[in-house]
Amino acid sequence: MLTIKLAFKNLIGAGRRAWLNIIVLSIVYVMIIFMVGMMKGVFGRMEHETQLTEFAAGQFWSENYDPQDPVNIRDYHQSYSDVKAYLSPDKACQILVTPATIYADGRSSVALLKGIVPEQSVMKMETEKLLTESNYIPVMIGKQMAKSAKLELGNIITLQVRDKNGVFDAVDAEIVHVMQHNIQSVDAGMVWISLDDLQSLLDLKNEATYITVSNKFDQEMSGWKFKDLNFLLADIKLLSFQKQTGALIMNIIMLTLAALAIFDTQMLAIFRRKKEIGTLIALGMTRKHVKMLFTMEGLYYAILGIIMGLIYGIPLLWITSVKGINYGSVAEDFGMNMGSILYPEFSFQLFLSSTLIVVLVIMVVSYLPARSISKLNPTQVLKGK
Amino acid sequence: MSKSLINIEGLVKRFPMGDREFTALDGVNLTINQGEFSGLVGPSGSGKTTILNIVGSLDIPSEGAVSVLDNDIGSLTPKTAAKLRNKHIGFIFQTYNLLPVYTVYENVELPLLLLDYDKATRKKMIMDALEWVDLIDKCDSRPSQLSGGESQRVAVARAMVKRPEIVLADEPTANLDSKNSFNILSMMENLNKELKTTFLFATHDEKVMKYLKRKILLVDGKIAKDERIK
Repeated sequence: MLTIKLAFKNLIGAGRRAWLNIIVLSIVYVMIIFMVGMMKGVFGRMEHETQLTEFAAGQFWSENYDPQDPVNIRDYHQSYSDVKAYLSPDKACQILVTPATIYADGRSSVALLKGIVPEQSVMKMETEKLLTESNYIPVMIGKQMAKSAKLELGNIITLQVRDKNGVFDAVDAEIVHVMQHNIQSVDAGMVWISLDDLQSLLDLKNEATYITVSNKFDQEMSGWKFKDLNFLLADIKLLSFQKQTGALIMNIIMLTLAALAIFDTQMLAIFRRKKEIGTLIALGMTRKHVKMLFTMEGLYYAILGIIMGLIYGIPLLWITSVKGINYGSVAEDFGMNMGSILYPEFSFQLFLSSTLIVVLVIMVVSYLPARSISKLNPTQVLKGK
Repeated sequence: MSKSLINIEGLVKRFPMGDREFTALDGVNLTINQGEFSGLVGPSGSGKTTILNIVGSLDIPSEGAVSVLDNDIGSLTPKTAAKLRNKHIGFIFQTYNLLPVYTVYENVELPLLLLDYDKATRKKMIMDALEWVDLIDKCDSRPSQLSGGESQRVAVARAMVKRPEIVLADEPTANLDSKNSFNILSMMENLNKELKTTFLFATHDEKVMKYLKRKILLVDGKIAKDERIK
């Protein structure tokens, strides 16, 4: 108890240097929580939104379907006639994919044309817009695609595709909807069309590339390979892991710098306060006691840094978690399924683990210099030597 | 007859010096009785401070036996040595050695905190000690706000506050002018008379020597003369 009291008094008495360390540590503490919370929030949301918009509860892939092989993608489809009885707009939605060339205002670009059941409710996409009355074939795109291909709502475009016999066909289509979400994997380089229209264009009646199912779907479908969410979200999970590892390294660097500042302060304190150490020993403290006193002083940096961090950090972090951080159009360039407003997620566990890590690290860097007190000769240090 | 508090027999202290050893004390025999106001005098390097350090259990003898209040200094553990200093020995240093971040009151309080006295007892003892040194009005001052004389008076109060049997004073007036030295020494002399505290000085200051009731002259680590003044 005495050590705790004396250490606190010493620290407060140490003045500006001590407060500078405390402020730096508090910033590091808040930054660690913010960065971990940000990663957790962004990737948690990314996984969630991707699941809702693209994968639902999983997908059944046609025999040879490989989404990473755009060259041969027009060949990856198969008949769903045998399983048609299981398919319904709220349980399973069949999707047919083919490469297409888009012509608009004299420009041409390559895209993936995806046929989808407009009435589906398996994925969170406004596919009912494909039922809009139009003189042309109604199609919809995402805002990324609109931006990159310089297209907008109401534009008439020409879609050129090759049917199952390899014969080129072209039709005019109207952009009846531009999706505003940030799920790039259903947006970038894609044009969505009614499944019936695409099947007619390609002459592929009852054919699909893959079938996305909701969690209400519980059938086995022979001839189709089921891919669960673990598989489908593996890339996002890997990306999340990589980004979190990067953030962890950043956190380690920040904490190391703060710890080094405290280590340096402690080393300097022991060097400058040798006479004080000698006096304390002469007054009846053991060296172990003095060592504890200096370690405790270091520990107070952590305690006060954390308290200070919590005082301004909690309101600050709470506001960011509620209001989010608006990255604006920059977010679209990240190439990830994330919104322009990013919402970090903070939990009690995050606060607790960050607190424990900071306390532990600072305790170690305070103890290490204090160990040298054991080697000091009190008769020498009394003279300040 | 007064009880002997410090018994030194055949004390030898050697310090390593490069490849060789330097002998700071060479066969010192000395007895200090309760209530003495005595001093180790002699030139620099004669071994005065070394004796104080050993008697204060801050150091151990290389050879010989040193007994302080029936504690054999050579065989004390760090914990028992700390306890001996804490309970029975007060130190006064040439450079005062006050803790800069504490007030006068807190500096004087420190030995009592280590002895685990309750707050009320501590307060009474501190006020008594500050009264002895006439510094009650400086209770809340910090060492940086005190003059040299005042700082040394605080150091005396800190050494005396726990009413130790022995006070070891190493060149206590070396940084003080004549007037302050006189004040400090008079104060210590009074405390010696009133409280029967044993004072052992290490000094080569003539001003201190005038006050000593016993002068032990050290030359080259040996006692050259032991003179009692009536």
